[in-house]
Amino acid sequence: MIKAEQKPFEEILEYLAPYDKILLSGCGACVTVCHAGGEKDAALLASALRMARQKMGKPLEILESTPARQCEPEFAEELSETIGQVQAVLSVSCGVGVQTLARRYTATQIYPGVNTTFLGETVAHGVWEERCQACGNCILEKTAGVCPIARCAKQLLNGPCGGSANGKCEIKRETDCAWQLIYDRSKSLGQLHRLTEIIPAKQWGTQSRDSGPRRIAREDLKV
Amino acid sequence: MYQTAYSSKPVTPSPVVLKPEALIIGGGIVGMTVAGELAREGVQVVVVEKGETLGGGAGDLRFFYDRPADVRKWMEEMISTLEGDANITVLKGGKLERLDGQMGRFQALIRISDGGVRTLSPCAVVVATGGITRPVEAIRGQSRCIGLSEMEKLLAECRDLPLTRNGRPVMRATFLLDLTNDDIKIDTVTALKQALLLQGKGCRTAIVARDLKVSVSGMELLYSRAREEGVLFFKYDDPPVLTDTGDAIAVEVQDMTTLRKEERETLSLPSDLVVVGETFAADPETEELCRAMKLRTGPGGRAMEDNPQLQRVTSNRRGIFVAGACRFPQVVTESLREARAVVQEVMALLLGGGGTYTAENPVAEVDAGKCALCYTCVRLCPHIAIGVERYGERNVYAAPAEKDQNSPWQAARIEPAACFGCGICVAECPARAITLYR
Amino acid sequence: MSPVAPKIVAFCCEQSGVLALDMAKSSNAKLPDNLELVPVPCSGRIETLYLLRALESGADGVVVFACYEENCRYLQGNIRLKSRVGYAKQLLAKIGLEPERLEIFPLATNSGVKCAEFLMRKSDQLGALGPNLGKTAKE
Repeated sequence: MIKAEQKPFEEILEYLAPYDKILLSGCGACVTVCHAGGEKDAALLASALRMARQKMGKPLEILESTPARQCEPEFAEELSETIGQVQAVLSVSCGVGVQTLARRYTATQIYPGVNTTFLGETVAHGVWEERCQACGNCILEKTAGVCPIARCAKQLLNGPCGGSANGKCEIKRETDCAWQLIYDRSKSLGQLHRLTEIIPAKQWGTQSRDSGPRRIAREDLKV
Repeated sequence: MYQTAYSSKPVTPSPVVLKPEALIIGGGIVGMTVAGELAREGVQVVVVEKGETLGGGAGDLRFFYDRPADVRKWMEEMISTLEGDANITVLKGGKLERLDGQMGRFQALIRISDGGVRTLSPCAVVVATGGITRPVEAIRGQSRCIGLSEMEKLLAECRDLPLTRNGRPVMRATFLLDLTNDDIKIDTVTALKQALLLQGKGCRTAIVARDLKVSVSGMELLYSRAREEGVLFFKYDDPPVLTDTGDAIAVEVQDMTTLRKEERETLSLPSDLVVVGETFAADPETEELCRAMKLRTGPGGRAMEDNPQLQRVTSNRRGIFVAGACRFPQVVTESLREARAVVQEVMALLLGGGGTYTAENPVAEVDAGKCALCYTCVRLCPHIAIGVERYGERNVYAAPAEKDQNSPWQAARIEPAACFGCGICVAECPARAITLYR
Repeated sequence: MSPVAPKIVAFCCEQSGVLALDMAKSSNAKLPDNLELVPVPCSGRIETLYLLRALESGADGVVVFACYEENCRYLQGNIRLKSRVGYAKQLLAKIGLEPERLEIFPLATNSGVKCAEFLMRKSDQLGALGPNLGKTAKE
């Protein structure tokens, strides 16, 4: 799921400096699950912002609303009445949600309240780790279910670099070496021989994300 | 069953029907006592014992400390009464593999050693798996050192005769306690009991301990009697040194009765036999069972009671009880007291609401429409009262236009019968989807 | 000194805090003026949001009366609360409010005198700090 982290408080205060009435919109999906922008975290941020602005002598009125998601046009529509009453919106949804609102509300500034960080897995309660970078051409079948694009610091496709030591990465010592993980898992699957198959270099420009925003269009689903 | 549509209005939880069926894990004296008394009240009881015989850890005992009865005869009677009881089914060679559901409708999967599988649906479960002991490392390999359990058997074998071991007479015996098991009192009880028997055979008996733990019913009197009979007592700070002198073992203790440290003499107790208490170890099988049943474990890897002062036999999960050595190793009298406490608790449940249970404490409820299925509440509930089920009418993932969805959505669901009303889930829920109702 | 005593909101765990305060009252121990008590079934019920909202809506200081760490009747409620208070204090630092405005006081049911004394000290401490400049409620 998309994981995000709340932006530094000072940064948010800066965004909101010119306003005295805003909407803080949370999101009930991904940011709720990673405790960054759900109803609870949105309410907490709102309370903190109000107190900070009160202390500065510049009170800020904050309306709060947390639609179930912010990434569908219908959900964005739900906020229209409220947005009509405010000067700006602070959205603690992921970047997709912010932009969905921005596309619909062309006359209102929509500020991001979180940094959308990665697509990740829950490793333990309260701990999330990056697992996918949406490269668009999944090779997990070849790498025993461990992604070298997301988990290898150098995004190597054919085995570890010389810096892999004791199963750890030379770039960040706490990080597991992705290719060690791939090796171990291939071994337990009885598929070590697959590591001799060469995975060709990714075509970032034509088959992946480096040539502008990608689009999926399902003609059969279109209304 | 519950309505499939949850609203945010307070809902009175429907009563849970409680069938008079109980599952007891462990066929030792605690398990058997609970089974026998529940069966007498008309409850259908299944006892699951991992071994091929009943009796458990008490099978090593030969003498009681507080009554003259023969332990083995007492045990045989208990077992035959149990096996003859129509309300009790004993599954030998069985282990609990899975426990699903909540109080009133547990689903237990028992795997039998012959490969068979039994599914049971008790309304209450009792954990009475006992404890295990290991020989003390310090004395391993020493020829004249034995454990308390071996001494128990020796005394039983030489009942009316003087004590001999491996053909040699035992005229001087020294008990060495508190090398392990700091907080457990059984060893002191057993040592005193055995010392009195030995002294009665004319054996010079000494007990060397860090502390004499006599805070068990009848123990202070027993200690007084032991002193009157001539049993010697020594205390130590640093463990005594054992030296093999060829025909005996010398136990060196410091005389702690002097006022000044410099005046302390070292005494040597030449002994034909040194008796040491076995260590009560964490039982990996009990720990595994607690993991499978999601029961809290306490220090030493033992099954933990909910509140040591007030609720000694209930666990963190409603409807599941723990008693006996698996909770804490103790003398037979105390273990049986816990067994009876469990019987009272189970009967109170079954009879309290006329055969049903309705949650009285505040109960938390999840608004399925807001639940993001993040599993925060499921992970954090100390009472394992929350699961994820298909019952919501609406869910976070359904856009407003998709109103015609008829199949129930998944959401976290709190079982009212298992909820303790603490409100931890309410505070943690990132979607503020949970409410606590009084 | 401001004419009105500083407002203290005290969240009280029903397993310890509520009973201790009952004891304080019945033994006529001196309690500060302007004290609001909020009973909760377990300190684990106290949301981080409540801590902030209490300050926002007029409290000069917030205290939590919770059971000692290993004594939580629900096993880990007070430990969860401790993490939440830590997080709230970080927010207070960002807002520019003094950390003394939020404190956990662990106690048992018989700590009536102790908790009363603590509340009097807290009231003095908050009086010296001055009113909470972050409160948005109109008094």
